[in-house]
Amino acid sequence: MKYFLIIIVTFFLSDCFASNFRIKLSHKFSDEVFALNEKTYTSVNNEELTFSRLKYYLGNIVLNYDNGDSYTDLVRYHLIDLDNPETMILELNNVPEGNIKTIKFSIGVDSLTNSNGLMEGDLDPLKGMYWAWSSGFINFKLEGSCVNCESNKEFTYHIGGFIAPYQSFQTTLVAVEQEVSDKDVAIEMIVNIGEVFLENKASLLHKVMSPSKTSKCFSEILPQMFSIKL
Amino acid sequence: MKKIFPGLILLTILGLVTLSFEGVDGTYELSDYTPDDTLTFVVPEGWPQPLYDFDKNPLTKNGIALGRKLFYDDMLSRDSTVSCAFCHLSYTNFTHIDHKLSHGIEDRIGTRNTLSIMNLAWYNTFMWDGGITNLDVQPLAPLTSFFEMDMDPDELITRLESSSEYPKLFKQAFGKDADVSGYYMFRAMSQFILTLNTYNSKYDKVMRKEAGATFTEREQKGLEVFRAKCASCHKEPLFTDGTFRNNGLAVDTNLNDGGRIKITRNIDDSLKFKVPSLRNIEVSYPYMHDGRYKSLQMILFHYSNGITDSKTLDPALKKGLNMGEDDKRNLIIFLKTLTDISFIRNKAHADPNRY
Ligand code: HEC
Ligand code: HEC
Repeated sequence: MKYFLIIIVTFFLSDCFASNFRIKLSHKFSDEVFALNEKTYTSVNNEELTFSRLKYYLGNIVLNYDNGDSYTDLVRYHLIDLDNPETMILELNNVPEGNIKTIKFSIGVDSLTNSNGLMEGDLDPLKGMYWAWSSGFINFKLEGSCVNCESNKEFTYHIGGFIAPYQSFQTTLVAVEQEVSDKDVAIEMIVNIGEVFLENKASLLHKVMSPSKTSKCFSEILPQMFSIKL
Repeated sequence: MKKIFPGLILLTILGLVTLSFEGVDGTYELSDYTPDDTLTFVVPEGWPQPLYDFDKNPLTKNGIALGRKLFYDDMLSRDSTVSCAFCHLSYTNFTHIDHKLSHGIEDRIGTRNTLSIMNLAWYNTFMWDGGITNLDVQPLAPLTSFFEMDMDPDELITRLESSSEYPKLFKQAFGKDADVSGYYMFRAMSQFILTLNTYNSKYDKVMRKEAGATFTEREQKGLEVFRAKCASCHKEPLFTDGTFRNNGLAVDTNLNDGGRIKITRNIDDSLKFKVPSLRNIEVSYPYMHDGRYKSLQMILFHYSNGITDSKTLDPALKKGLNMGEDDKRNLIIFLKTLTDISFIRNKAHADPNRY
């Protein structure tokens, strides 16, 4: 009976001092709303770009509080797929009260998980994010075409790799000022695809489709895409 | 602490009652799913322990049956013409004989010779270049390859979900919460593949000293040649040591297949390929990663006179393997003792729609 009581009390407490925390991902290209197969975006290098696919793994989310505490998302990996609007909202349940200062997360799938073999849900190999010919996850997929490029208009960026020296798993930290009280909270995270085309030109880089030095360098620019709308 | 047990027992009973009620809706018989009814994987006497992690995917009768059905189902290819078995035929040791390079939907010709499927629980790398490191994810390659089944993963799930049989078979194999998904599909396929084991050839019977099993004089001499010349790479009892090596094949300039280097990007792995097992070699021609040799005679000619030197050529083959004509004849006679008729004729491995 004592156990039963403890369980009830814990339920009660967690209901009282925690809330649901929602991260809404807003994809942008510089200042414009990012959408697939619709608009043409102009990069800083004057390339006119359209996009047909954007999919990536976001995971290991940790909320850090001003008092040094932290909260870790129970779901290890979320597959974000622009073709599937449901995936643009990340729900974190029973987040404790307090002031959140930073959010830490990773882009891609860590090497241990990569070596774990078959997995379910968002990590199911049939989700289109697993390389068939060389076992391992694709961390980030961006495909489209460059309308005003002369030849080779299509570009295909499949970024991944978990074995040294080509690991392309990235972890990053974004600043946030968010108080969590007993009410549900929602924050907006901006994901700016324009960042990918600051130095990179679609006319020069058409294909990245395997773990390599290029893939690793590419992965290093991905964290810059993320910021919190304050 | 002790008081918890009666409660647990009560909960379990309640759980069983609710579960059996759910089975009444007629969609499937819950009694069909028996998670405890796992089959034990047999490790033949004297063999190493398998590398496959059976704890993650225990073999069950229903899981194997589902995997077998999937393996023989044309619906898994884009135009519903090619199943796994199209290239991996049971009566030719699960390979596509007489085709140098694989042959997929719409007669698309691939870049490599089909590998035999056998004893795969003892491997942790798959394909000629070892690019795949887990048996469970291997089928993703043929399913999505343009040259093989060219299937869109979402379309595959839709087809399985809308079939009249599969949703029920998934639940029978993995429990009532098992919806159609890649996760369960791959597990079922592995389960079937893990039943494709061959260790009952004449060679095995002689090694196990079974009554009446003895080598002829020529077979015995052939075994000796084999152990002297070939066994360092084609190691007993699997007839491979699981490594990647360059055995001196001249590069085919049309295919330009670098083998293992494609995966590791290490120049030292250029032109290295998986050392294939030689079990049932008699029935799985043509040979080598590109199917260049049609007969065992040609193979032996290669090892004795045809080695092409290169930076990564295996040191054991630098001078070629010196074998007299008699040695070669005996060696071929010995290699034929690796044929396991009970394996290739096993009806439990064949098309479930026919047997
Ligand atoms: C078009 C012919 C073709 C089809 C269809 C096909 N395969 Fe294969 N299979 C091959 C070829 C070719 C290889 C070797 C590929 C390589 O090394 O790149 C192979 C290799 C394999 C291997 C690796 C064996 C080893 O020893 O490493 C397994 C397992 C396998 N196939 C299972 C399957 C399954 C399961 C299916 C159905 C989903 C399937 N295959 C469909 C041609 C085919
Ligand atoms: C140095 C290691 C090595 C030695 C020694 C060796 N082999 Fe091989 N063997 C290989 C490799 C590697 C391959 C695959 C090569 C490829 O396809 O690129 C192979 C392929 C074969 C094949 C084709 C199998 C198939 O399924 O396509 C046969 C048959 C064969 N070897 C027989 C022999 C015989 C018989 C001997 C002894 C006379 C021998 N090998 C010695 C490494 C070796």
